Amino acid sequence: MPLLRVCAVVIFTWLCLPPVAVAGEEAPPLRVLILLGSDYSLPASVLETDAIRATLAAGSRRPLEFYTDALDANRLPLAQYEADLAEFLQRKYQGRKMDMVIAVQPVALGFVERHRAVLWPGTPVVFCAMPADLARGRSFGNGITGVTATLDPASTLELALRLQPDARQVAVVAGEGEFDRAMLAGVRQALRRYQGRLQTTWLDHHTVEQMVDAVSRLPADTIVIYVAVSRDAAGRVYTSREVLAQLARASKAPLYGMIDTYIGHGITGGYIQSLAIDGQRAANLALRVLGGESADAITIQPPVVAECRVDSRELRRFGLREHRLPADCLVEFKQPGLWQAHRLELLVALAAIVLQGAVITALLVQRRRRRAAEFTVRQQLADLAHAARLATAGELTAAIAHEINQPLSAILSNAEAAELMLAAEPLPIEELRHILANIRADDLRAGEVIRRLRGLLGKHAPEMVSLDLNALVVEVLHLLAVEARRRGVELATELGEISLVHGDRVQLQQVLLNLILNGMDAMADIPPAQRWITVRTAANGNGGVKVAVSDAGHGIPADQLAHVFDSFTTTKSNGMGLGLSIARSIIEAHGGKIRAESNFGSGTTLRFTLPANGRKPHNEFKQEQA
Amino acid sequence: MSKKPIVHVVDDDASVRTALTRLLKAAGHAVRAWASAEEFLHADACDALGCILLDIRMPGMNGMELQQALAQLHPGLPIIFLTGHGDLAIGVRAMKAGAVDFLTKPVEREALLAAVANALTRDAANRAVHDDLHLLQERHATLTPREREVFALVATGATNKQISIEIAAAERTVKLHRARVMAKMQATSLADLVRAADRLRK
Repeated sequence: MPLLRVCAVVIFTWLCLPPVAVAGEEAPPLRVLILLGSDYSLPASVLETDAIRATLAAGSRRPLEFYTDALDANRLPLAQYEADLAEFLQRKYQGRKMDMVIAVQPVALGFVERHRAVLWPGTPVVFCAMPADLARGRSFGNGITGVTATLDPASTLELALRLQPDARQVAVVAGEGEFDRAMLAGVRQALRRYQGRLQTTWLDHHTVEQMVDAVSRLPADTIVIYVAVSRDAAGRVYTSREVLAQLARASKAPLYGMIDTYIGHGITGGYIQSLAIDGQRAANLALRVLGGESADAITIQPPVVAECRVDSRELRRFGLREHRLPADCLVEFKQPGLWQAHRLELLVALAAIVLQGAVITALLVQRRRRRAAEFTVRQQLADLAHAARLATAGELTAAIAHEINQPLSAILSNAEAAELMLAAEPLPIEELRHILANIRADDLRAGEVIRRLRGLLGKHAPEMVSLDLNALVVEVLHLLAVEARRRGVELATELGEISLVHGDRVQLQQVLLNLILNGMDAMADIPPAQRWITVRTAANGNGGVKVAVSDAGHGIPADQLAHVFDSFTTTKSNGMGLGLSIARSIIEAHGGKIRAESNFGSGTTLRFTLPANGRKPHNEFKQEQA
Repeated sequence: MSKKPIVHVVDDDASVRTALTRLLKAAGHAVRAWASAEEFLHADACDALGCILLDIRMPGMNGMELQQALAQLHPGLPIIFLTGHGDLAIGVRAMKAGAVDFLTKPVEREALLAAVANALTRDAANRAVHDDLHLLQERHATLTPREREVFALVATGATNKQISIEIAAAERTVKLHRARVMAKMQATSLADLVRAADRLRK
């Protein structure tokens, strides 16, 4: 709030102050007339005018008013309208005294000289776009100064020969305009030096169509000098640049030129006289005069040396070698490398790629770590399950020992009986045969117990196979039969018709074992006659299998039902509380679910489901192990 | 008396039962096999006893329970227990309850046959003792009440005179009774008679 108020006060004060500073020193603007020999819109005119105005505007301390008029004398017969034009200009600028007249091209200077006394008496004049040889041969009136320029066809030819050392032919294209012919004269002179070495084709006195046609027929190793075409043999007027564009499109050979309006519009290069520099130089003279210097005191400026400039696109188009260029040659329109042209985009793209790469790498690393972690977890589950199986086997030791002991005992007794019988007369062959058969059967029986035991106790790599859960139930009950008898528990099954499941035999066996032993433990303190466990299997409706293990024990309190699968939760005094936890881990690793519920009467039922055989559980033991 | 003692094998495991039966038969014993304690009890094979080879761990009535039942029905019947590993505590209890032997499966022939022989010897001895007493009792039963009085007094070491005063009879009459007791009890000497009285008193 206070800040806002301060701001308001400051602004109000500033608004109320009278604008003293600027107004008093404002000098009247200086009026500059630019008189063009050609048309306004000619590229050369535009280039020159822009250079003049920009240089003047930048260098003048006083405001400037620019006026521009064009004689268009290169295309039209000036003599026919010169008087009317002079009159028109007089009326046009009635009452406006010019402080400077800049005449562009000799024709404009001539006009100024002829009408200066009437139109711009006493106004200093600066000329430009003046061929040096023209300026040399004449005198200038009072208050007139200017800059001169010269074309350099000789150097341009030299350049062409450097680039095309094998060239035997030169074609020179020029129009019928005054300016065209003036320039052509210089070229003719320069070519004289190469007489005998180069054969010259003169493409002047042609219509533009003929020029284009003739140029298109030239062999590729020709040097084409484009002079200027402002009017052709048919009297049609053009801008040199548009004719150049047509020729460049048609030509199989490189074109050379000498004016900077051509560069970038179809010439391969040349020693270029710059109209922009010409305009700047003229404007600088004008500034000196406007600044108070006498125009008479300023000598006519000699031309600046033409510069070697080439268009890199054309070089490439004609297969010309850049290294052949003179050292000081300026190569323009260099196709910027991808890097220069799209630096930012490239940087952004590169950054994006790097970022993306980093993200991908990070994800891969993460995935790898996760898999490693999952693998470790599974490994630990397997280890834990194995440890739990060993513990289970410990509980069953007495039962297992008994089971193995029985057949061993029978075998020993049978063998010893046979020994005794061997002493008998006659030998009881039939009885001995029976004995051997029994020994064999008992041996197999003991072997079977050991095989089952080894399956349960062995530390094996989990192996996912299709298996019949009913068969597995039967096998587990077999393993537990002796233990159940010892504990007086009646085991029963109700096996439904079920499909195969995908799982690890030993791990699922362990689940059943854990659930049944758990049930047996739960019935330790009820009378033996009431101890029973039923294992039921059935299809679960969507292709999977459901299994229920019910006991008649004292049951699990309702508030503990949900926690029975947690590790180290036990209702037994001697249990570790891992049996059900491991059972859950195994079932979940198989893509199934397990839960506990209280029976309606008494006891507990543990139910688990396993998905259908076809559906691969997310557990990928096999691959991990590989 | 002349009946051959029978070894009874009680084991729920068919192959073990068969093998033991075979071995004992090959060793010259009379053997009967039973698949459970209940089966053995119901068959009431008491008159053909010798000894029992009994598996401790069986479904239903186990070996220990059968031992208790037999203690009532046939005291002194020798029992040899057979057991798997790790049932030592049970074995000790069985021995205290009167078992003659305790064998661990798998049992070797020497041990088994020795145990069986031992049991049968003990059974024979039991039976001999049992028969002796039976004879004395039979002889004792032939005595008249008066003779029994005399017999009892003679056994205490009383003289004829003391006995005659005791039973208020003439000394000659006592002598007569005494001679008849000696004859009926088939005693050859006074010491013989005293020993017989001693055994009958037990």
